[in-house]
Amino acid sequence: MQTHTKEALASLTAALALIGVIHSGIWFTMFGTPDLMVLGFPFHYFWLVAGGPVAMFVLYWVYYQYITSSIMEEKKQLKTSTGGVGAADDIGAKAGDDDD
Amino acid sequence: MIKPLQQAGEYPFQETFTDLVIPIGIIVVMFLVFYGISYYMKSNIQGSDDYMVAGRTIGSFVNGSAISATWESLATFMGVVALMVQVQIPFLAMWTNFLLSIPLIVILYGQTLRRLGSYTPATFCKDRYGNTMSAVMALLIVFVMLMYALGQFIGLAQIAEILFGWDYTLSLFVIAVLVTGYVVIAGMWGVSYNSALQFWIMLTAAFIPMMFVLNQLGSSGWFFPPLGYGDLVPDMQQTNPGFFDMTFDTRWYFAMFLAMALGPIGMPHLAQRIFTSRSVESGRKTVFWFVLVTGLMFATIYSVAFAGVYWLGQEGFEVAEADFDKMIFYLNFAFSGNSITGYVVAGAIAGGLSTVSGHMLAISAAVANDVIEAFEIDVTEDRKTQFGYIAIIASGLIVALIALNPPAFLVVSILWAFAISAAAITPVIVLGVWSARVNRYGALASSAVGFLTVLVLSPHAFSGIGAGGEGLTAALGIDAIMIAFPLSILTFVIVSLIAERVGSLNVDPESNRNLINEMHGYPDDDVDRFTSAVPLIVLAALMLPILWWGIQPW
Repeated sequence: MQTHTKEALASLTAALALIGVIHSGIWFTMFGTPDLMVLGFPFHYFWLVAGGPVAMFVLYWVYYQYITSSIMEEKKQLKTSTGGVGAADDIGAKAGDDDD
Repeated sequence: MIKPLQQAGEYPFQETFTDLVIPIGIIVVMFLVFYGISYYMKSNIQGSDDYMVAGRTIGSFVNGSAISATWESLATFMGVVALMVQVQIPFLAMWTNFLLSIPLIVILYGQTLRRLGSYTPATFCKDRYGNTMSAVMALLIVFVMLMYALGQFIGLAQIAEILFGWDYTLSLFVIAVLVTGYVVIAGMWGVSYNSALQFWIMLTAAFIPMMFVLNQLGSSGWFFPPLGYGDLVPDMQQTNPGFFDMTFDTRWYFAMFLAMALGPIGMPHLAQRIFTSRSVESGRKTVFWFVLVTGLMFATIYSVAFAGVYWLGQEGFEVAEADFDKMIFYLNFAFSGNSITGYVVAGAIAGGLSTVSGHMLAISAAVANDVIEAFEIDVTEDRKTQFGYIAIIASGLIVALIALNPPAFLVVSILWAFAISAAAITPVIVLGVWSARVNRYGALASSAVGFLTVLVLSPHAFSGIGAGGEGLTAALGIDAIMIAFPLSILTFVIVSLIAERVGSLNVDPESNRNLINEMHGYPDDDVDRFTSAVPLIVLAALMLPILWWGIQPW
């Protein structure tokens, strides 16, 4: 699979997963959540207040790892193989830059 | 549900300050610090790049805190608590959607536009779609930012009313002068560091006083307000049995997702913060800090709303609907007195300043950079910066004039801005980044259809024409998004693909090749990327059931 296809799929998957974890607090409730209390709160309330944001943090970390290690590495190799033509990462970077 | 009184005032608890010395002292010191930071940072401003995106030097921790403050706004202290008190858990579900916006901005376009060196989304539109779309986008940005800033000005004026007992108009114009002066001096450099400080003032102003409140309400977990009040839940379920009910049907939450998650994605004052990052990598890392600190702040604010409902229920007090915005102050007056409530007020002001400064800088960048470039007006760098200052002063005056006749709830104009952004701005930016097949004709048509649909179907411009929703959904104008968003995407895809086939329009997807490769960080190797029409067609097909769902009676 080409790098840009992987990047697009990773971004789409990450976006849908983030939306999913926040919305699960709503959907579980509407379609029947187990009568579960967490730290004294009904599950859906706990999820919206704390569970969802924590899950969001973890999911973003997975996305971040994939993009910075795998995708950015492949982009570097692409640039090397094309002799650094265009030097795309330098464009727009000004003071203090260490782009990608 | 709290039963509102017919009129505000004359409550059996403290409503305003009885001693102003310490509260005013806190607020004056806070303003001096903000102005001091702005003045110190002013020396860094050499040109428009410094003024609008702080020279692209902001690190991830400062940026994460600054984004959080800009994003949370004064509404976190006032509007959110008010709607949580009135709407209860459904509003929590709605607001949590909002948390998605910053990660989605970074994933979907923040890092690519930062790489491109954009000032605002309109700068990107100039490169991607040409001058006409750039001008349209700049005008949309100005409109949306004015609507958003409106809510902040109203809230800040209400605080001045509470503090000084001035009438609303005087409060409004004093606030307008103070805020505009602050932003003119600061520029993005001062605003970024100030906003980071403002976040921590906001968090401590919500967190620490809530420890006292929860302790006095009898919660054993008072030392950690975000999650420490679970032992009050059984009592809450007795006094307010419906507090944890989700109340509305599935479509309500879906409409909220469209407005609250996809709307802020198009908000330039949030995207602009990512553009200030010192690198693309730093921009990505900003999300970690944002989720961490904002999650903490929001969980704390939910505890305020919970405690407000709980306290009113326990005491049997009733509060007028128009006063729900002041609930956080009533709670602190009741449990902590004047001095601590003074710090809470300072936190609310910090939130308002942070957000409204972001709005004004977004307006400034749109006028001083994007409009000038779109119309190809030849001006010097100094003159461009001067236009930026003028735009900020003009926007302060316009917002103050509109705010003279404010809507009932502080959040109303903000939610309207979100709906317009979701329908008219977000699709144009996100699809422009991820597909080489969309073009200027589709973008122009999509923005026009999205904007006009929200304008016509929401109750704020043309009352009497609705999208089918009733009650709160219709009153907030959120139901319009269920029609406007899918229509906008369908228009974008269909018009773009048709325009490719009309020879006289000269649309060539390959003409975007270099730009697309550049913004995604690929080499300029003449390889076509993101050129398939299939994802666009799938997306358009997915919009059909959403549109059908939206036009059914609610």
